[in-house]
Amino acid sequence: MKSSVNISGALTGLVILITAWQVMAWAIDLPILPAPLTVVPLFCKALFGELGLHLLASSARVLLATGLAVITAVPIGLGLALTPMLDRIFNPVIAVLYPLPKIVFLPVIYVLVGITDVSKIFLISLIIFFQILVVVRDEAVNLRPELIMSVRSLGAGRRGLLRYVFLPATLPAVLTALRVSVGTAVAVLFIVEQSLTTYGLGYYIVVETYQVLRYPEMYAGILAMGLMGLVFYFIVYAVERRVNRHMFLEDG
Amino acid sequence: MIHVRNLIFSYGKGPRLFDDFSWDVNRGEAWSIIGPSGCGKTTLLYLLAGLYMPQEGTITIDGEPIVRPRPKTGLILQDHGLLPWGTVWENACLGLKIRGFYGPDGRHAPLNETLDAHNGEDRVSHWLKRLKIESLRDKYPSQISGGERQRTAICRSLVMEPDFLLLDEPFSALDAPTREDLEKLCIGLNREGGLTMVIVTHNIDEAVLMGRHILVLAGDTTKKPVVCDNIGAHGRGDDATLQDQCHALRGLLDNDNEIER
Repeated sequence: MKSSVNISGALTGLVILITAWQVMAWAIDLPILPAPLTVVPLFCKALFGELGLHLLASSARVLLATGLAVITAVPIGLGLALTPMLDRIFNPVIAVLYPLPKIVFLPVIYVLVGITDVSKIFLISLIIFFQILVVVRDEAVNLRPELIMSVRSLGAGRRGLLRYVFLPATLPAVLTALRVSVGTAVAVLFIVEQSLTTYGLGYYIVVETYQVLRYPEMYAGILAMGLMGLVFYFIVYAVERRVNRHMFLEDG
Repeated sequence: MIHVRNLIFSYGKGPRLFDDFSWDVNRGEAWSIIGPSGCGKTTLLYLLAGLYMPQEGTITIDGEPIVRPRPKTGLILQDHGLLPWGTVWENACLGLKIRGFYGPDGRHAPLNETLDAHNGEDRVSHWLKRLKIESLRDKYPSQISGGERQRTAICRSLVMEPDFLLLDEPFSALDAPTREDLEKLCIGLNREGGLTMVIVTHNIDEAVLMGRHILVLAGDTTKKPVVCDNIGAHGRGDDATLQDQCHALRGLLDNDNEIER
């Protein structure tokens, strides 16, 4: 797996985007598109005020949801892979549930759990959960039997195999799944934060700024949400590069 | 040392691969197992390794019935079985790490083994040097050749100080010089180190070179497996003896028709 994305690449992209934004702002010249020259200083100031609190609340929700998804999906995925009987029953169910857009269950979850942080975090983690579950199961099922046989012959029982084969074998897939699903997670966060929230970027962007026509502040919120997604993406990417050194070798 | 008694084994409800099969291997012997594909060569190896269980009959090693992989048995497969995410060094250390993980419990690791990390590293370094892969210690399996991977797998087994080594077509994917080199190494381990060795191969020359005794398995259970003594093994005989042995073995196998050559 080789990826061309890196920090310097992202910075170049950012510069190009902001330049294009500035040019468009000049060309269109409407209140709905304030220039970055207005928004960026505002963003920097607001980050240490209200906006910072919204950003913290949103980040906490995404992190909690991610953590929850990882600690449930990894053991369940491994359990399925190691228990063919369960796998035969649940794999078809997962195959149907996996492509469903989980966001459509929003009303159901709201009614059942109530519109609280619990339901919001649950919905986000549900999306990441399925992404991770599917890749962990697939990775573990597709491990070569020779690899497992030879590690067993070195003395590894079930616990040893888990520790030295299954966990390290599935970790790369978990990280890739996380990196890929960060975007969806932030998108769902944006939607769930619009109802009954006091702190959160989704609330800030839609209720506190957009609905009262504070467009420059709204853009500061958009910037914060975009940066949050970007930072999460690169954190996972950095961990991936560290953990999966064998996948990023220069000479294959 | 190894006693196989009245072994019966089949996969699921398939035909029996072994039907009342008995076999003995003494300490320090080198055996080759040869036979047509599907005759159960690899299965027998996995049974000896404790990875498969006999349906009936027993396998004992040093008087202990084999019900799980035995800590002092090493297994080397054609496909190496290296961890792709570990370097040569990490792969070579894997067995010791697993032993450390369980502690000397007599099931996953020998009871009497007390090994500190330093000792273990010395042992790994020693075998890396002996197998001439010391310079590759920080390389990943995808960065090294097939022969080097197989050396790493052999190193990983030898670090565990086995008294019994099982090899399943270990050299069949390697080029001729590498293969000869590793064959010599294994012969050396058997002759100098007294390591009991069973090698499964479909290559007649290799069977004759490596096995002081050769077990010829037939394609079906109605025919009895044949054991031949092979005095020319390990380069002890001259070329003519070796040729004769190969010829004799080929004759035996031809009776079974469909041997791969």
